[in-house]
Amino acid sequence: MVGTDLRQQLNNYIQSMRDQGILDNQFQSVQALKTEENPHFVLETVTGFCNDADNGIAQMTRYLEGPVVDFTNLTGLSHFLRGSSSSIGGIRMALACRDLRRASEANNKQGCIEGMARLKHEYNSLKEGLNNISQIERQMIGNAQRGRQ
Amino acid sequence: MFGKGASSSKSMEIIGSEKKISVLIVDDDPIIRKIHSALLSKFTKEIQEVKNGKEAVDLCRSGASFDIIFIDKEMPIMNGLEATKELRAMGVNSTIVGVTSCDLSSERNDFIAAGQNQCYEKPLTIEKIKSLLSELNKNN
Repeated sequence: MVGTDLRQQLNNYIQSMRDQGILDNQFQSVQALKTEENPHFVLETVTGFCNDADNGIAQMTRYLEGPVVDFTNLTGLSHFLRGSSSSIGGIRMALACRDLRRASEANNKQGCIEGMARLKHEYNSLKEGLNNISQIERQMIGNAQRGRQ
Repeated sequence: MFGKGASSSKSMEIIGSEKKISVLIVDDDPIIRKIHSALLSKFTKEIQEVKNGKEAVDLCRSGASFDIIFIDKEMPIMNGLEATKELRAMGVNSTIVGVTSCDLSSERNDFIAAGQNQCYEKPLTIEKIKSLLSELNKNN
């Protein structure tokens, strides 16, 4: 059955992301919050997170690459993204945010440059995976809606 | 741990009972608010959200009351510690629970000194909430 195949495909994909350490079991906790009344929950959460992360990382890059590094705002924003990435299960990204924050709190420009590069790398891996998950979710929602018509 | 937090004059909803718990989520991250709200909706329908400590203080000052306030530590305008001190100074006796991305062991004393009843590292989970509600039951 198509629905079962998609569900299995999604589970397998999420497991592969967990095996790579990109996601931890928090993502499944987020999935468990999806209900019949709110079938778009995972999709909305993932989309919202990626929008915030895109904007946040672009802003942090500006803070870092300015004539004078804005360590204060860089610290605040890396902390902010740590919270949201950990809440969606993006454990490696959360750790990268933590390390970037530590470098920023120490006013360590080189550490921040390296930390920022690592954060971008981890976010790109996470985002790619979340985009693939979102694609499957959309198919599942579409199938469910067609099934009800 | 839950001193005069949840007043007996309020009805409380705990798992399997008829009483209702009212909660306030205070966090500047809309994704965190969304996830925590969905999580808490498994236990209660009486949920409000605000995005910083000042909004929480203003809401309580306007007369709103809550059994539990989940409050982030680092927020713009007014952070969680400042808001907690303000709420306690106003006489708010809700159970206040700090929720932080920071290293909890180093932050715990700050939270308790500010007047919080409990603190958790983000993210909140079903297990943490059940544990919290169980403690609340025990103390009431």
